[in-house]
Amino acid sequence: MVKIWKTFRFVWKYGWKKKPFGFILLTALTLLVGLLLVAGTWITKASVDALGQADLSWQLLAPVLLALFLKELGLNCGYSGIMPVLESKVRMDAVHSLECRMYQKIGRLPVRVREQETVQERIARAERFLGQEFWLFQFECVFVFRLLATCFGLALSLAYWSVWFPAITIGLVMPVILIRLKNNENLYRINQKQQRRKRRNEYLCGLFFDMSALGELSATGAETPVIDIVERTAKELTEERYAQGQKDGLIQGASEGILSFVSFAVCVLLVVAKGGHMTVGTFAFLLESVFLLQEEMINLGFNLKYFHQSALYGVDLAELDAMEERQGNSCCGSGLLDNMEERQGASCGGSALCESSREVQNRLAVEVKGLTFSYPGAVEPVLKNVSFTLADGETIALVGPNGGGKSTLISLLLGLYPPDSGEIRIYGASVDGMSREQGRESAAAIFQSFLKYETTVKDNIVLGNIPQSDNRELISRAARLSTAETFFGRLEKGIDTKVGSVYQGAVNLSGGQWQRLAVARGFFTDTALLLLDEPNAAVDPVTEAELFRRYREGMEGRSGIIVSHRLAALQKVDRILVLEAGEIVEEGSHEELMGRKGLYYEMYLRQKNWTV
Amino acid sequence: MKNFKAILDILRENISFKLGVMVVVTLFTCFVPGLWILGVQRLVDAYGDWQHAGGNLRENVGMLAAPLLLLAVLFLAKKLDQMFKIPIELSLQENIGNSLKVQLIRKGSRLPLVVRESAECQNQMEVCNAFVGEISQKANKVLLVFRSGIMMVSVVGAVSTLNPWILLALCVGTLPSFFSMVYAMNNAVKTDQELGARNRVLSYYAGLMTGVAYAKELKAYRLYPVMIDRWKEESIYINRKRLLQEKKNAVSRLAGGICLSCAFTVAAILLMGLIMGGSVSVGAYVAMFGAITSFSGALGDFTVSVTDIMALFGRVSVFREFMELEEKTAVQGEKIVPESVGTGYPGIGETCYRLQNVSFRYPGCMDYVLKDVSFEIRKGERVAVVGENGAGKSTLVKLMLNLYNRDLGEILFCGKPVAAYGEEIKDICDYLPQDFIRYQGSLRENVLLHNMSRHVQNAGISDEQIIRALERVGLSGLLEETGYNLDIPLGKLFEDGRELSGGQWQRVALARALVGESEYIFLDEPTSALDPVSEIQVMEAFLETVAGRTAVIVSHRIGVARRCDKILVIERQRVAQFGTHAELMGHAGPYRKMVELQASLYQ
Repeated sequence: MVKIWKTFRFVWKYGWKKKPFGFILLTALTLLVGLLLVAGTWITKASVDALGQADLSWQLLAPVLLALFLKELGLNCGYSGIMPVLESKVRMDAVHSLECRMYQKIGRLPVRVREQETVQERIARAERFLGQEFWLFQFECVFVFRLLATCFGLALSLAYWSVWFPAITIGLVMPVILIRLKNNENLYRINQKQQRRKRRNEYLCGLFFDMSALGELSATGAETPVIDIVERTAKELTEERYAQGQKDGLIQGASEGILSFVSFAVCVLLVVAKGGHMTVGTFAFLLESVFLLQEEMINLGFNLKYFHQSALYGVDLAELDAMEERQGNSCCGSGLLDNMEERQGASCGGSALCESSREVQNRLAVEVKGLTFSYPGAVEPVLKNVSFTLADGETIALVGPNGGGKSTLISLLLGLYPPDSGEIRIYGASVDGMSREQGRESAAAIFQSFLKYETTVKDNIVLGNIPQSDNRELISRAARLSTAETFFGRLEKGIDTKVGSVYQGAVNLSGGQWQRLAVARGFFTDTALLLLDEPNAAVDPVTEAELFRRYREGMEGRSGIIVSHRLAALQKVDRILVLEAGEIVEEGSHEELMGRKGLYYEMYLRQKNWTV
Repeated sequence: MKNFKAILDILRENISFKLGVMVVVTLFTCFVPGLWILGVQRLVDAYGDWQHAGGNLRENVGMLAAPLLLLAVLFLAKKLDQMFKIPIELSLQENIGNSLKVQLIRKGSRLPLVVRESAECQNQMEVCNAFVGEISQKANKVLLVFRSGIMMVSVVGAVSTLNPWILLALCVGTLPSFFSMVYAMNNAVKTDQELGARNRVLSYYAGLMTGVAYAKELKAYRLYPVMIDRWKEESIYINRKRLLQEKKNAVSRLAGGICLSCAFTVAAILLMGLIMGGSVSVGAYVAMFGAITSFSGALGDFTVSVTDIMALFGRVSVFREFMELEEKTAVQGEKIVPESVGTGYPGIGETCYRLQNVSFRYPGCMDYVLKDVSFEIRKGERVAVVGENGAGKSTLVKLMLNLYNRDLGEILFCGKPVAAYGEEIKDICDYLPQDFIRYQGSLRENVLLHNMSRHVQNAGISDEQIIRALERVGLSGLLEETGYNLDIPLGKLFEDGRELSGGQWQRVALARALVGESEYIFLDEPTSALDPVSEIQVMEAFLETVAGRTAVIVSHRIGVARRCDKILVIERQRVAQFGTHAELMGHAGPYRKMVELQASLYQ
């Protein structure tokens, strides 16, 4: 019940309340329909009594008939005519504004929080709530309300004759609802028990819809055995549920039949015991009311289950919305204030005073001091006490074995992760989680797992700097620097060609081609600092060599940090940092490092001997 | 009609005898509402008579017993369907869903890879998958159509015992309701089709925002507002279209509702006339009210389920078409017994692969991916395939494995056309593609993935062999960490799973290709996820292990190429050079250029 309330409150506040008129109208209409059903029993009574009178005439029957017609009109037109469109309208509006809110929220969450598995699951469930379950939730909201109104109305109108009628009916039907709840619990328990096998089966099924798994599956004959496993497991799971369902169904059906008959019979006996004072009309009224009350109560029990089920997903949405947006940061307490000052300082770039103070800071593009960072739950920190500086206009390379912390360092420099301790300054401004919004003015990056934006080639490039979207010159410069122009130049529509597979008629690109678009996106940015995280991983050696040659032109007037494994291509950078197991073990120019005969020397020689 | 038959076939295949009996019983209970009406009529009339007779508790109360008893039986009968509801729903939903899904993926696995990889086929499969999901959810609607149909018939039958004119009024009154429903349904299907492409775009944007893969980049470039705007645009458009359609439907439904209400009122007037005439009892009137309620309910169910099923009908054709797609061409002529290819034939140094003027292009494409490719591989040679991105290297490997069918020319494997081997070639050759599977199962299953059928039959690969393969690819560290437990789950699917780094996954995948000890091994860029130092370690070990076997390795790395026995250089869809490292270095050609380019970097 708490969950239903929590979800309801959230959905009301950020969904229905935006256009309250629709929702209120819907509720009012629902209430009306619920009460119409109660009114129907009274119409029955009135008409039977009228029919029983000695001086029967059409005049006497006319008001009853009118009431009957109006009731039917209300049910048939109101309920099945207007309700659906009203329901859709209210639902679409609510889902739209809730989805907007959710995406904005997701966009504001820190990356480190996003990467937690529990958060990913929560987002998936919230998405499912809005995608599938919301329909049910709103329907149940309205329907349960209607059932409650009907039950309440019926109980009241029955109590008018004797409190025993509603008391007996409700008292005897209650166990039926309880049995239903118990059965649901059984089913839930079985679901829990089967979850692991089910998840695995879903995964195996998914392999056959996964493009990248196709080649291996079909070439090695693994398909048939895997499908056999899927089939067998699915059968097994169904059989288990079937056995439980059969047992529960028997109990449920029998209890419903017996108890509802007993409550009905007791009511009839009660009438008889009263000794026939009631008119035939009243008797008919009682019969109808008792039947209806039974049905609606059982319905209520049934629908509460679905109501609750759908609300469970809604709770995830509410919790997602309430999540902390600031990066949990142990050392940001004191940094917050001067950070604010710095931001102000940075934003007043026009005045002469600020200009001079910036000039002093500008000498260092990046300043990292005592940086330590570990992923949540990990024992070993990924970065241990890392310190280095990058002068304005300088380009340095980060090298080292996989898992050394290179990509993590890039994320930290972009302010995507908060450091555990230590300090990062970019052009004098501190980059912790708080100054993310400002980071754009100072650092941009080409990512290792880059975005494949399945729209046009142009869109892919201009994402890096949207205000400059129409600057043709900049676009063609970025395309040239990234060597991307060589492939899309051949396409019929040039940079307006749609790529990917979302749009019909779009051109499919290879991994190397996508990467070149991502590189173009990086060069399209205009920040003073550009970070390149393995920008060459997916391209062939010839293109790779060409890329590295053009980088120098691209980096002119900018400071840069480049992460790469291809040591031979990095000799021209100003300095090389060797990162191993989270620590900077060596630092210097290519010649200096070769002279030192350390890790870099070893790596370089190995690559050289392997290649040449 | 074909669609209807397809749905019937689906149902027939999945309904067992026991289920059939339950369904029949359930259907039988649908007659109850008709009888129920008659029972209520009796009870009300009996009450009237009893009251007329004085309403004494001790006398004549037996008059009520008979109708009460009848109702008691009906109460129980009415709930019979409750007893079978869960089993029936489970059987219909899950069995049908499961069996269709298995049919779907089986069919997918029988399609030629080149078809299967096309965007068209993937779309089709996704639509089919959605269809399967939907049909399993809505399978019980088929039953509901029958149930509500029978219920309506039983109610109408009971009413018609009173007066045929009432029956006529009810029937005429319900017709407009039906038509409005059919109209609404057609509209819905049409709107869905119109919005299909838009919906795909919408969910693409939603996926970009909710997925975590691109979170860093979206955040760093502050792209969330941009994405939300694009998403909003699509969402608003789709909602507007949908609402427009709903409004149209509402008008037609309103008209239907008015007709229905009139019909009920007319029926009531007719009945009242009969009662005034004295030919019908008051009980019948009460019963008719009950009948109207049951009838409305049944009509509602009928409407909804027919709408749903008709919507499914529209899509069953997609499924049917997919299931009728042409499969891999069957092996023609006599099959080759794999034993003959085994150890003895052909001998080391004899030709095992001969490609003659092979050309290939993807279906629907104008340009050839490979043109006039001819070369020979001798048994026991390790061949490196090098060339630029998109030169056709991966395609060549797939052609040699009969995953794709060449358009022109001839590919001979051990003297016979490669197509003649059919599925058998999978037992002879092993292949590790660039996109290998990060199999979310135990370490053992991961290594045995290529030998699954052998594994399932329990025929042969011992744990020692697995461990040896893992050690070869440099995973002794992982083995030691886990105490040589081959049953630890890998990946993130389960909470207790162990997630590996990219490099570790790549090594596990390489172990797959080693463990089967196939005579012929094909690797497609096996080291793209490794850093250079690890790459060197792994490839050195690998090349040593496969010495004496036939291996084809697609690689960008000169280091790998020069350590192989032969090098095949592919340039612009053709074989540019083929020979040993020394031979190729002797000519001024693309290979020497490539080597020199890379070597120049180390000066």
